[in-house]
Amino acid sequence: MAGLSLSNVRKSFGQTAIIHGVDLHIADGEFVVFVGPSGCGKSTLLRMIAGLESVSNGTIAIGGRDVTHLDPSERGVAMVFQSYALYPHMSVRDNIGFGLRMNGVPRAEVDRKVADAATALHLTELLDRRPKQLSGGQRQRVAIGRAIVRQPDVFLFDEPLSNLDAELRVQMRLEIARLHAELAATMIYVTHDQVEAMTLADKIVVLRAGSVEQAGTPLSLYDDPENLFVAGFIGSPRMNFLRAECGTDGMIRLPDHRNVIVPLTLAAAPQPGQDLLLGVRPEHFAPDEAVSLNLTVDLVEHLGGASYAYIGSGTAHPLTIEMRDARNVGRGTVLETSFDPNRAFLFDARTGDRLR
Amino acid sequence: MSTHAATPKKALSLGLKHLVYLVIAFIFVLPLWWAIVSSLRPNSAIFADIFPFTPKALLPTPPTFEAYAGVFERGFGQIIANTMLVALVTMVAGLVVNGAAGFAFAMFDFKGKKIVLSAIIISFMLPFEAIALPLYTVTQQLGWLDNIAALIVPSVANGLAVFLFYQFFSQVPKDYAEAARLDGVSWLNILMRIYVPLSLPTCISAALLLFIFQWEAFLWPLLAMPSQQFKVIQVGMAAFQQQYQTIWNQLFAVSVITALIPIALLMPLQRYYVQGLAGAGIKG
Ligand SMILES: Nc1ncnc2c1ncn2[C@@H]1O[C@H](COP(=O)(O)OP(=O)(O)OP(=O)(O)O)[C@@H](O)[C@H]1O
Ligand SMILES: [Mg+2]
Repeated sequence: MAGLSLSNVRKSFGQTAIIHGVDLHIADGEFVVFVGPSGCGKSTLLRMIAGLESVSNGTIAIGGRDVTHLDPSERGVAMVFQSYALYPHMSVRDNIGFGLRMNGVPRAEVDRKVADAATALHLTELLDRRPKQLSGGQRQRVAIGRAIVRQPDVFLFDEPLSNLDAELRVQMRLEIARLHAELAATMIYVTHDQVEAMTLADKIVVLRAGSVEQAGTPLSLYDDPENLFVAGFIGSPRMNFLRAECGTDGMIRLPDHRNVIVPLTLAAAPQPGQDLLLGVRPEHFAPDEAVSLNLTVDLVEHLGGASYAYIGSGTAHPLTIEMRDARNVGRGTVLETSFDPNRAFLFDARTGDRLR
Repeated sequence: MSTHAATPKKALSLGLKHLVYLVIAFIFVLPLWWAIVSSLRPNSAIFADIFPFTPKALLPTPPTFEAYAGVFERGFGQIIANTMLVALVTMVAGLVVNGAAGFAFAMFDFKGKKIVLSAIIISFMLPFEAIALPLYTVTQQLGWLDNIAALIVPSVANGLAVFLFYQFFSQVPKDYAEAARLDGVSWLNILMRIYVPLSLPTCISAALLLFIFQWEAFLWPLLAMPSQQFKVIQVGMAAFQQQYQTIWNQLFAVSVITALIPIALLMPLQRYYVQGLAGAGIKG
């Protein structure tokens, strides 16, 4: 088992810079999730750690050993591909044992290790099947089995669940969490799905256009986002952003909501006239808080336990509000709601920086 | 289907259609059939029943293998063996060389890859006549004239075969190779244990291509083997035609043998051959 550290890692494809100087430390046994919008370089970064993509600049160390220029096989990593990449002409047994056999591990030992992995992943009955004869979830487990037999120091997963249906994703998510607990191995996991990120991660790394925006525990990102991007990316439904202004008196007001004053305690008051955004999560609206708003509902989704009211859809700053026991709210209802200013975040609208 | 053909009119049109098919098929098969039939007649009866034409011309009565026996007595067996040797060695060596080259082009990026690949594509579009003379000069300087190496070595590397392999291997998802590399599998094993099993149709296509190329070679063996000690089949057939101009039935026997050996090889593998070429065409 081993930790991992990236320092000033860069990658360019030809003239195009894709990864702009990533610094990251991953502790031994940590479960790290890379999230970010499509094309931000998550897969590229993962593939650089695996050694499938060369590093243009900077160093990658695994377990204190500089592996920047080592062959993938010498890095002690195993990867689960989004496509699973199961060899179609081999049985499940051969798929799992292929790497071991090719590295000269004796037949008996290969068989034992394959059997152990198959037991752990409930694949024993399927060992003689071909990948084509398996369901999506079973293929996924074979791909994981192929990774675990090699007992790598670091597991890499590139969107492993994205080809599965919703129910199976939940099930496999739990299975991966269990695996992490059992193996206590370092795992790096790429996903689009922020529920996967929140539930699996010890540490989430939010990437955007090839740079780390913020890295931290799921709750620290949720409770204390450093900028507009992270605030909008973590949390579901997405955080609401309300247009805000700072008056000459240093008070923050919401011009779209009858200039209601939001009492915030800030280290330094923003410039008067600066464009600001106030972030409030949908789940932080409640009936009797300090700052109240009157809103006309466009649409309501009742999920049973919670309901979501959508306000101002189609405008630049739409709102989503989570409600409990609000069965009588419908389209056109004027909703009186409020939020606690201590749970709101203030951002500079232009730079996206958090103002504290 | 037969229930639909219940009305006499429909039955008639169906019958007519099949008649037309039969006639067309007959026209296509006729030359080959006639060659086979003629090779099974005694030489004296070769033009019997043709002027005037009777249907008996289409059937040897009674068939005799005397022509084939004659052909082998004149040393044609040795010629077939020679050609087989040349074609099979070319095929095996060609699979290794062209397969490895196609794999390298599909897997690795290197400077000048596009130029080399274009050169390879152009190489199989050039007619052989265009390179015959330079090739002859090189062979002569190597001292390979009248050496069987002169027949085999220049044909081992085949642009079309490289291209076929390249096409197929680039379609195989890269993930397989990457997964194997992470597992520490060598490039050779990646090729032999993953890519080759996945590309059997392409391998068979390439093998047939190389085989038939050698089987049909005429000009080059004629040039490269001036003393004619070692004859391959096309050269042997031509010589045979010149030498025994009037032994018609044996001439036909030689033609039939020359045509049938590749057909016998192709038939069982036809499915793969067509598949391989078709795939290469679509994804080009
Ligand atoms: N081999 C390559 N050559 C050139 N550009 C590439 C190459 N691979 C990736 N890129 C570019 O690098 C950027 C990052 O790609 P990457 O696959 O890492 O994104 P990602 O974050 O994994 O996206 P997704 O969530 O859609 O999988 C993209 O803009 C992509 O076009
Ligand atoms: Mg990706």
